[in-house]
Amino acid sequence: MKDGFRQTMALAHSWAGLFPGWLLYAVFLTGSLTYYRQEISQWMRPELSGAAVDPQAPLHAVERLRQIGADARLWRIDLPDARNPVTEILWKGKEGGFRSDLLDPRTGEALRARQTMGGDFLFYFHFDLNAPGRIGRWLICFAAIAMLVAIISGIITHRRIFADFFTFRPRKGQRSWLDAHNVAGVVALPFYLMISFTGLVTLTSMFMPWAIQRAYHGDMAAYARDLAGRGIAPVVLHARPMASPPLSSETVDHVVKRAEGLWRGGRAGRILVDDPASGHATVTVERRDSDGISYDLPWLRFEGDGRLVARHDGGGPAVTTQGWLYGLHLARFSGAGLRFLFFLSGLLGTAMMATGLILWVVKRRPKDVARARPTAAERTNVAVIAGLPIAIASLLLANRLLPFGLPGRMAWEASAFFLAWIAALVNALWMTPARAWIWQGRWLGLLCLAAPVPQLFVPGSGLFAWIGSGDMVRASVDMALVATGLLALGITTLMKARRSVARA
Amino acid sequence: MTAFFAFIGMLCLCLSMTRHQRDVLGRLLSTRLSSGLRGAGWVVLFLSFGVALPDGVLAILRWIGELSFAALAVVATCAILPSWRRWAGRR
Repeated sequence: MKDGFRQTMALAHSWAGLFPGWLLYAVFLTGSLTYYRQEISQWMRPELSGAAVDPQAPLHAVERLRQIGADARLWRIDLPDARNPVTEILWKGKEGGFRSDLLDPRTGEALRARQTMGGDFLFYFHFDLNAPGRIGRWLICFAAIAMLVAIISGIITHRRIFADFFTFRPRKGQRSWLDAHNVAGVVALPFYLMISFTGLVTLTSMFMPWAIQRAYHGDMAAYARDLAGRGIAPVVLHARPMASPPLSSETVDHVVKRAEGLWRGGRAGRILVDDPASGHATVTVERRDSDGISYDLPWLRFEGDGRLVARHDGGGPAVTTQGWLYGLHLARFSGAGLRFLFFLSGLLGTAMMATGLILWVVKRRPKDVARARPTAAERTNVAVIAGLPIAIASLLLANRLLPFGLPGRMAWEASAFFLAWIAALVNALWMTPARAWIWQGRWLGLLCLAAPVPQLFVPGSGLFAWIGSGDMVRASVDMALVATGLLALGITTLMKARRSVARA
Repeated sequence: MTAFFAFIGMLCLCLSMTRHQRDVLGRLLSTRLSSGLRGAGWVVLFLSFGVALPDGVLAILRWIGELSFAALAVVATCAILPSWRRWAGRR
């Protein structure tokens, strides 16, 4: 009976692992890179090197918005921080559309950077695959549920978690892949449980909408408002006066300083100004998301004359729980060390997916190697496991090679990503997997090594100039690319050498 | 600091298992030494938690992550050591 149960779990594990596994590999890899979303964004906008955080940033941003968005209905100012030292302003015009700009925090001058999604491309891919409509999100929902199924069935199937905890036997074929999959799966198990559960929490409103529909009578916007804390009966300190003096940049600067004082050293991250043009402007200051674990961010709302009218310091128990779980998933609270650990854990999860997928194929290979024919799963493995990194490296290289003022530049970068991936798929379908692994490994290595090169030809820019000027963020991305490139080439050379030994 | 403790603790736990004694050390340790190592491993791991605990939630999150990679480092060490030993023995 017990063995029967375990076999059922093994079956669940291998099938919940296969099709969602390809998707989850992509989700894990892009998700891990998203921990460095801001850093990748900085790298993808090399023109902005040298921008620095400045306490005058809110003042300059409001002055700028008063010039270019005077009749706007809404202003949004994302204040600079160490990970993203530029001010981002966004305003909503009378006709409805949003417009945005990047400003130098020290002067308020608009910065001219190439049109790019930056690290946001990987961030969006992580949860909606950049697919049209909601198809991507539904696929991710399905994969996330399969992930939880695979983790739990995997724990049950793995009969010797403690006895095999440290076991890795290299150069033993299937045995080694199983060991690698087990080690990668077991050592970071707390992370996988946390990340897949919290990932599901971020998507709850999609796959379990019934409670929300019932409580809010189908008004999802009201639910979202409540969750953001804007509907949870904020403490109203004063009645709203009929008219206030026009909003000045000094007022905004003053309320930001006051908010930071009220948070006892907490920093402001975002400023929202409603109706800046009218005499009824309100300024909402939101706390920075790196200040605490919870994503339920505290905010303070002021009148145009600088009086505090409402505040939010945290919602009810449900919102608090959701805020913590969401916050844990995003990990925006973490400093450099913890962020690196999250990133490494994510990469280990990626490795767990990759080894699991390879194991699936190796296990089903016929005993007689000479008669073995490559299966569709084996080809898909190459196209996904090697193809996705190739696509990402192509995105980064395209960011450097596409002309600065190309119309629709953002879309071209995305096309480079998908075209490279399609090329990898075609290659995997046309070559035998053993050769395709080596081809694609080399391509990946070359693309990663090529990505830092174009910037070296721009005066005062590129890896060495960045190290010289202390721009370690961009330099680190370059160095990570070089390291990845060398690693890919190294592994490929090793694979090729071993294959020729096996043949001889 | 916590990472170092975590690594030492994990290494002790690993070496308290007969399979790894055979592969890494090339000989089996006495039962007393093995159970001593196991006990010491757990104590050091708890100690590493104790170092993280007073620094709050973030330090505990960090400790969990460090524990994972300490274990991974031990696995790598144990996988590399036998071949290194063979190589040293051949000379």
